[in-house]
Amino acid sequence: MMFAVRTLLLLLLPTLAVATESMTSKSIIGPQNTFLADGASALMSGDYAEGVRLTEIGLRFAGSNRDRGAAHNNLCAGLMKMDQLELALEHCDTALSINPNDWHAYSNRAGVLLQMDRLEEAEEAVEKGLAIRPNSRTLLKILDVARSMRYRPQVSVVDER
Amino acid sequence: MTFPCRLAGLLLTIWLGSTFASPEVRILGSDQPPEIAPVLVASHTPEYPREAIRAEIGGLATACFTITRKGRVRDVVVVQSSNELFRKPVIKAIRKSRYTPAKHNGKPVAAQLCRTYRFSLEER
Repeated sequence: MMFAVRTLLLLLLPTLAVATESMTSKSIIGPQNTFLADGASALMSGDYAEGVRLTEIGLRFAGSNRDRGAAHNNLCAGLMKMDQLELALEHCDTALSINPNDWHAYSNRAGVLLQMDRLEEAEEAVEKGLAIRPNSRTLLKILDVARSMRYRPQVSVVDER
Repeated sequence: MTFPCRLAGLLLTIWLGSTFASPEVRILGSDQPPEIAPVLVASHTPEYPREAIRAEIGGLATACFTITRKGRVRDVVVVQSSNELFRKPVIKAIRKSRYTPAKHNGKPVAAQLCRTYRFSLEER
């Protein structure tokens, strides 16, 4: 059961933060943080080690809270995939301290906590995320995994007349 | 347990019993039971709705339906459900079920019967 849940968790895409201006406008002249953009691309393509490396560099040059929050969130997602759960959790928490309404960070935090078997905290993180983004598929998927870890659904016939 | 609690429990049991009580098997269009009741030969269990699991909802759902003279399931109606989410899976499961037809005076007859399902979430 736990193996199946872990496999399912690994299949869940990390929730990367919404691309910031600097992430989406690599070709625009002016102050850019292409490291964050390239890091996000690497994470999206599944190259987590490279994504984390580039994002860590980008974080050093992040000029706005938005960029810093996104960077920490993406580090959380990447490190979760690399199974560095404690460190991932720290980055998620930092992302949330920068932006407490970042549902991506709640989603990643919940994913990390599930992998750490901290079920109640994971459910709490999902619920906070859903309060911000009620129809997030990713959050609902994580909630499904959490519920399947907690419950065994049963349907039985009570009577037949 | 105190007396008021016991009384409340008893009343709840009676209420639930009456709410979900199903009528006996009877020949369609009459109150008479058939001599030989339909026998379930292919059973399908309703799927637990994902939304209900997410919201941690359990409960009961009763559906009544007709078994035709050929043993087919028809006219499935959910007569009682503690939550709307249970309706669809119950109807779907019952529609997939197969029965032997009821018999009366040696002949197959259409019969009506009801089935109650309990949806519960057991902690692992």
